[in-house]
Amino acid sequence: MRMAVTTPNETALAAGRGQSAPRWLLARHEGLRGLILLAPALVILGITVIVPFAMMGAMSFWTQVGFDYADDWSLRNYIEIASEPIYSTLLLRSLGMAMAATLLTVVLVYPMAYFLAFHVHRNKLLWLIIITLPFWTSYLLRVFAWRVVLGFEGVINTGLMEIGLIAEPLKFLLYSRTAVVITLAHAWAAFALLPIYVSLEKIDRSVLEASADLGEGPVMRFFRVILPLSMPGVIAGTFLMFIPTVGDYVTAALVGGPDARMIGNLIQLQFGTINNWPMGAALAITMILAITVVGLMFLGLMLALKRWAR
Amino acid sequence: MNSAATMISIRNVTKRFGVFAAVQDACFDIRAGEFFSLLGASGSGKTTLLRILAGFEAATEGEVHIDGAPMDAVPPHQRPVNMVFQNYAIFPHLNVRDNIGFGLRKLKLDKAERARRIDEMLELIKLPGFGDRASDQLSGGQRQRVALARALILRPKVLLLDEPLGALDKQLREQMQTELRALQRSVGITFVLVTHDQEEAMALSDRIAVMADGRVLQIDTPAGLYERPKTRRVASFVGSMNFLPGDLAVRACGQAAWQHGKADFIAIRPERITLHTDHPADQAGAGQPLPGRLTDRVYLGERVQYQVQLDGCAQHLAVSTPNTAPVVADPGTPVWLTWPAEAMIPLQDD
Ligand SMILES: Nc1ncnc2c1ncn2[C@@H]1O[C@H](COP(=O)(O)OP(=O)(O)O)[C@@H](O)[C@H]1O
Ligand SMILES: [Mg+2]
Repeated sequence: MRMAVTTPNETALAAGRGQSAPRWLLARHEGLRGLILLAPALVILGITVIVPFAMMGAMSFWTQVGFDYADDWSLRNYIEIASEPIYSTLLLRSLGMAMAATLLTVVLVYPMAYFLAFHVHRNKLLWLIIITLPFWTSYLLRVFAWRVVLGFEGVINTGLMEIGLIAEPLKFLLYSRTAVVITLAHAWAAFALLPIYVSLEKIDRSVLEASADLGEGPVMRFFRVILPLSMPGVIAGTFLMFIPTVGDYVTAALVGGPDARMIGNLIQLQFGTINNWPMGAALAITMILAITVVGLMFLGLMLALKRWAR
Repeated sequence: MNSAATMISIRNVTKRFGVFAAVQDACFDIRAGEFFSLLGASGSGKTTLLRILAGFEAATEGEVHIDGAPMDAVPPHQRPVNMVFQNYAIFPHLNVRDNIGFGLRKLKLDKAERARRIDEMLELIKLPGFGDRASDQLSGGQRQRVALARALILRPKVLLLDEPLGALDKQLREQMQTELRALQRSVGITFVLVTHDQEEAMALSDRIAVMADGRVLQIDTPAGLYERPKTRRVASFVGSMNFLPGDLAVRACGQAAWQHGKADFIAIRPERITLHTDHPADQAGAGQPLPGRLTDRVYLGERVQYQVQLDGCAQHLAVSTPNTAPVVADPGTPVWLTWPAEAMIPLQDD
């Protein structure tokens, strides 16, 4: 380009070069650019998650005295949690029920995601919408719907009695752990379905043909290619569902009986009627730690499985 | 080569997608140990035909026999063929070793034998020591080799290759062509290659089937296709070609040399035409040199390509001379063209 002519672009460049170090920094450092893009999210995350979390963590070391707190920094709450069996019972039960619900959901939802990814060729979006349609209604409404289905005079019981399979309503259906697990499994299904579907959808179809070409029939193709390639989705779905369901209290309160109370119900009580916020905080922290431990164990198991499968 | 044994027999194979026929009435044999290519422009049905051989598509009509056995009811995972996919289809969750060894599970080998065979393949594809690489740490050429090894380790009767070199840059492609050809000779497996690159097909193949619009136009050796194309489409697809109306050719070569009176037109390769800057002396029995004017000159390194417009008509001819010939001056110069009678290929309209 000749000297006499300066395009607007060049002018801008020259200005940029002369004046601003920040701009130069930005161009050079990808990390910095990423950080700036993340900044709004980080701010929101900081205000709504990290600060309350820190406050809760601090509070869990306090003690409730009447209507007031004593910030005496003691381990009393944690010691009580460790020594009173009610807490560990509730915690273990919650973990168990969440695991059951998650397992049930992943097992039920995987074939759906598989069908959607591999056998639906047209109108995939429509199918996705239809499958996730229940999740457009309120969570509470869905839980109530299960009361109608599972209840004494519910759809299942009256249906079974009508056709004469049972003489009395099945009592274990409502106000039981079964009811909570079923309801949780249904209520959170979309969270497990979507990541699994995405990971299946992403699988390159020619890789499936390659496995057939190399001598594997449909069954081994599933176990050697499709399942391992969809594991990231399965793991993501498992976490997305397991983590919130451990602490769920609405479902247990609405369709669970006395023996289906979960840790979330207890935490809610601490912040509500019992009015022992430090204890509630300690319980919440304990629950988060327990979830973390279970999550890490699950990841370790998956890694071991992956190594073993090769 | 044992030309008697037939490895693949394709009998009247037609494949329709709805009403659209991707392959129409293909009917030919591929011999055992042969390097056979399907050559054609994009969309001509090469991949479809290859996928019918692999079992991924079922022929709408006709049948395929491989090594004497009918393949109609045989699913892909039970066919004695293996395929190198166009995008290589490397398993992303497996490393190089496990990719190459994927098909060995069925052979129930012990660990040592399995490892030995994989090492042997790594050696063959010149990637020893790459076994533990993750599949996403491979270059295009390396992926291609892994795909090749993964198929060859099963010692198939036929190896199907769908544009295996298409994704590689020119230099690597030429190197891989040489290697592929040497590999085919050393393993002695029948190769069926799909390509749209006529140079690649020529360089690699024992025989080539030229395809267009789902039909096989001609099957011949590379030399046969180049020197004796049967139709205009084949002639124009394989190498570059001049097409002339018959009468012009007669004028250029003399009636005596022109025995192909019934041809609609004739084809002449650019390199068979001689370019003169002075009016050449008439030779006995030959026709007159055709006068024309140089309109373009392209310097290609080892060759120089000219465009010549014949005097008195709109016809342009391409002329290609080796770089050792004296370079004619600039476009606009008057020139004369001659060619030997045997350089003319008579063709019918198709
Ligand atoms: N599954 C399919 N459904 C419909 N049309 C197809 C399908 N596969 C290939 N075709 C069509 O068949 C023709 C030949 O395709 P293909 O065999 O892939 O050609 P090539 O490999 O020679 O480029 C193309 O026009 C393509 O659009
Ligand atoms: Mg193709």
